[in-house]
Amino acid sequence: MRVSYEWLKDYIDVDLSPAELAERLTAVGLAVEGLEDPGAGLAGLLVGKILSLAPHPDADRLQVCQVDIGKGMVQMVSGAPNLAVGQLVPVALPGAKLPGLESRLQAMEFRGVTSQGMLCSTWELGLGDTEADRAGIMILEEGQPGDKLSSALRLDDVVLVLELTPNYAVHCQSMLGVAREVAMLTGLAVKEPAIILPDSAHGAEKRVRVDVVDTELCPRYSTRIISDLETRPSPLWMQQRLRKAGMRPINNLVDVTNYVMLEMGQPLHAFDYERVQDKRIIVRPALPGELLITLDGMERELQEDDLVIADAKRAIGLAGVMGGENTEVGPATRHVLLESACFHPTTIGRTSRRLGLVSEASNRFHKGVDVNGCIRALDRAAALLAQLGGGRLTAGPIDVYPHPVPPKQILLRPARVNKVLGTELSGEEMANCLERLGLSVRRETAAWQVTVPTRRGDLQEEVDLIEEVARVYGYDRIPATIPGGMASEQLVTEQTMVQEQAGQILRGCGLNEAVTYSFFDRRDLDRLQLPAFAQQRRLIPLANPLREEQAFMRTLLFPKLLEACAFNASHQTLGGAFYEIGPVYLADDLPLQDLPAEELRLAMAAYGEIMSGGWSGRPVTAGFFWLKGVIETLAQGLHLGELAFRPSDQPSFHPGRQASLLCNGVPVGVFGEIHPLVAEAYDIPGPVVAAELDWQALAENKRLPEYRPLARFPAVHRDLALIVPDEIPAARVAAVITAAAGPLLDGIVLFDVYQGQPVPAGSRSLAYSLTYRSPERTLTDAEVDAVHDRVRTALQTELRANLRS
Amino acid sequence: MREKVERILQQAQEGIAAAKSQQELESLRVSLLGKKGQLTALLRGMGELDPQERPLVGQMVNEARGQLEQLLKERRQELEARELQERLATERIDITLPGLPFPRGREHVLQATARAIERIFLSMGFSIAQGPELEWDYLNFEALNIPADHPARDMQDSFYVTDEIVLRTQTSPVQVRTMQQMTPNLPVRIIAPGRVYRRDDDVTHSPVFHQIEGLVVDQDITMGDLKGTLRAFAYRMYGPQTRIRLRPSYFPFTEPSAEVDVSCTICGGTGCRVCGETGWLEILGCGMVHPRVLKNGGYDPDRVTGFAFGLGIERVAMLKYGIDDIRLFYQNDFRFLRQF
Ligand SMILES: [Zn+2]
Repeated sequence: MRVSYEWLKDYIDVDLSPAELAERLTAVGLAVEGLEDPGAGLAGLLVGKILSLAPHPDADRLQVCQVDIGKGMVQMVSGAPNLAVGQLVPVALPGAKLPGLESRLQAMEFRGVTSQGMLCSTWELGLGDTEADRAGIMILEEGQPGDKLSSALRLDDVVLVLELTPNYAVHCQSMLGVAREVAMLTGLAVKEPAIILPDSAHGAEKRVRVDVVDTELCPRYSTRIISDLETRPSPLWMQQRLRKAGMRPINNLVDVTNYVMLEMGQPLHAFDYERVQDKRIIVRPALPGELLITLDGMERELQEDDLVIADAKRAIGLAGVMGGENTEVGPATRHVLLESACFHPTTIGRTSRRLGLVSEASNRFHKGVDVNGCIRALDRAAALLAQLGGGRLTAGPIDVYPHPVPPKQILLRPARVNKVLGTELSGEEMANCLERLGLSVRRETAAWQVTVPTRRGDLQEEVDLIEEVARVYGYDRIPATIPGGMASEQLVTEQTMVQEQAGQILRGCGLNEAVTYSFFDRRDLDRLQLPAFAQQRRLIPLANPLREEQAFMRTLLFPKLLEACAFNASHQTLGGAFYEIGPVYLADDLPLQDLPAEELRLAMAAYGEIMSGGWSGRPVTAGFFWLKGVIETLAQGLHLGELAFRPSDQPSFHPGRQASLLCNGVPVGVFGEIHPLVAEAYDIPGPVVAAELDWQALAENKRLPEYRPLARFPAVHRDLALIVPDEIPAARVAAVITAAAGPLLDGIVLFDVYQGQPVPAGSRSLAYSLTYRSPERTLTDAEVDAVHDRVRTALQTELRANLRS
Repeated sequence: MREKVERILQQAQEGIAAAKSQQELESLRVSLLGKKGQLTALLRGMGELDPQERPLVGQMVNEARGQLEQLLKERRQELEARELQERLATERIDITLPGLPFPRGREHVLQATARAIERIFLSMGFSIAQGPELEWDYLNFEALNIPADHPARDMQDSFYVTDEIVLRTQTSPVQVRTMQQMTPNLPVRIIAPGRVYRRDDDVTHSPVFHQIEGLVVDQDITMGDLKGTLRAFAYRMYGPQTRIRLRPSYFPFTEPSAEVDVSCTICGGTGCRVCGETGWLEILGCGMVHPRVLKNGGYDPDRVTGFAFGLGIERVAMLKYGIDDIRLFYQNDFRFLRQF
């Protein structure tokens, strides 16, 4: 809603400046998005009067004019074809700036004759863009030589641009509606426009018969016929008010209907009376497949749930949305059938949306107009038409309104107002708030009876009135308090805390937290080499995706991090690491009958150089053991218990470099190097590593750290180097050592792995440092030797290890 | 004898003073005080002296010995200090070389913002509640008093999975879920952070974004409590100089409803580009829980009242850091992430 300040003053003697008014309106919920100066760009331009015209001595198409600019005369040269002595024209003097031009105007010479500035066309002033606007100089209707051009054009004004919420849209989408809000704010009275209907004509009575088929879809249809009109441009003041409101002036007949709609909020339509067949108006649902060419020239195919205005033969308008071309008013129109009606909001909304025809009228009908305001608007428009088009009233008002709607009665418990708002308003104050909105309050009973005029269709129940009291009283005057009572127990779900802790550990390892979209592209499944039977292929599809790449809900999280890696790789970043804890969406059955499982996953991914070594150290690069180290660090940090790593065969991962992770014996996910073909499909330079872990299953294992008393007796260290075949995993070696050593083994560290000369091919050398310690006494060398020998023997017999030390 | 001692002393003093290293000093010590040293030799030669002279000479030699030891010690300390100084001088490093790198992953600025907000409300006695992202259309709309023909239910704005299941467009369905779960217990005091979805994609709209919902239901909860709670939040989030204002607004699930502005964090309220010269930044929507929503949650609106609020994490972060493109949050560009 665009509110001209100058126009608003027709209805209320407001003495706030536009900026103050904007602030006050915003504070009561009519958010003012901005203030516009419709005359911006016309600064410095003047009104001039052409006193004489003479042909240019040396140029056929130019004329030399003497122009009165109030404080004197100036000479101008112009090539415009439409100049005449006595005309008022826009004048730009040297130094003035025309809209859209960077530089200031200078005096110029045209073949020896000086032009002290220029006369401007509508187009040059930035006020129009039609052929006619460019063809000649703008001829002004009003003003005196020397007047500011903006004032002569009635553009010395400020437009308040309101951003209306749906509830205010009902009663504030009109100048009078806004004026009522200003009245509420200021205590001033609203001045309703005077409606002076001319006497009805004698003799030439016109007739029309109105039938409404479904009064639910059209609760009221009223009409008048205005005859012997002359179609012509509207006066400047009306044209400019329409423009400031964002509408284009067309001719007086159409402009009046729009003007009254903007003024009162009631959309109107003018039919060419002579083109209405059999002088009948029938408001009915459209026939299936019925065709109508609307005013925009488009042929529309209608449905049974559209509502049409028809004459005896055909549809002549799409009710509440747009008129039909077959009854359009134009230069030849002499008699007008004026419609002021009320239609079913949802029907209008549905039709206008389906056809993509959203107009000022359909918008207002969709939000609901005041059924009891039809006649006032009809009369106001009829009076204006008679005034501006020279017409006479020859029929009406014809008013089909079978079920008049009385004002609504709403019960309001005054105690409830204070209870909800936290205020201590007296009954007097509350009633006063409501009365300032034009509601009437009967306070005889404990629950008050509040009568709400039908124009406030947004007020339906008690709580609506409570909001109105708060609004009028002022949100800023409601005291700020802190809710009393006990704080509810801090159920910071363990999960949230563990998640935060995990994040800290992972960030400490150099992984960056990522946030990714929840969507999958179907092609992701192939990029990931998922086999046909994989359950991750059971994607939940969106019914109305924005684009193909976001058409499904993800069933895996790590591919989103692969995308993040790819994005960075394509931006010349040499490497990096990500983690995200986020949901995946898993369907049991498709199409969904019930809400799907949303499972929280912890995913990680890394590629390239994760951390530069700086100028001295060695860089950290993405690899299986880096990722395994991260997972182990996480498990230690969260005290998750025992981890185990088993071979795994996920097709998205490198067949020889992936592991299934078990936490206290329960599988919780997979990690490893991404299959080179998958890395290639995602366009990440390899090697790339990733993990996909079931976060809930993992986090469940979090325990209190287990305290053990510190060792009181010294430890004895022994090293052990052995050569074993490649097939024997290190974990097996460690298991043999641990089993053989028994309780005296206090620690085991693998400190070297070596392959190559002199170790025979197919084998590798492993070097361990073992720590022996007893909690009860200092171990003797003999005791340690005995145990260590047992370990050596076990390695030899069980693993056929070749002991090197 | 006396002259002998004094000559030794004299020579030794010169030798000690001239010694250039601890090694030199050590050989000097040996030549004077060692087993075969000069003073030692003197003592040994005492046998040949008159017994009456012996104590006198002994005392003299011992004094000289003490003197020499003192001199040697002092000189040694001098030399030690100088040698240390010389060594340290050669150990000088280029302190302008960069420090050794340590890994430091960053918290995503969105999550950091969300956690900061969560912590504030947790400290005010709120608990965290959660709900599914794929939500019943009923809970996302109807239970929140958003009727079927409401513009918010336009297919254009929401992602649908089936006719009945929608990607939640707001965290507000968690309000209803929590109430249904907790009724008839009081108080309800929760925040619900999470992902939400709208069918929109441009510089200021992302199809996936994050909200935090708040809900308090109890006997005697007032709009004043809503104001006080949000003011306390704004102080903690933006600093004690922050002012807030509530403007009437419209949300189907609250009434009275309000938009909340905080005084601009950039200009402090005098007007700047970020706040569009108004001095205010709109940060959240809120209101008193609509009686119908309380009823849908299983509470009697005549017995309890409540307030609710919801804020967009992206918006908070964008305003806080002056980020102008919402898509940056989801690209996970290291050049972006590392700035926080
Ligand atoms: Zn600012």
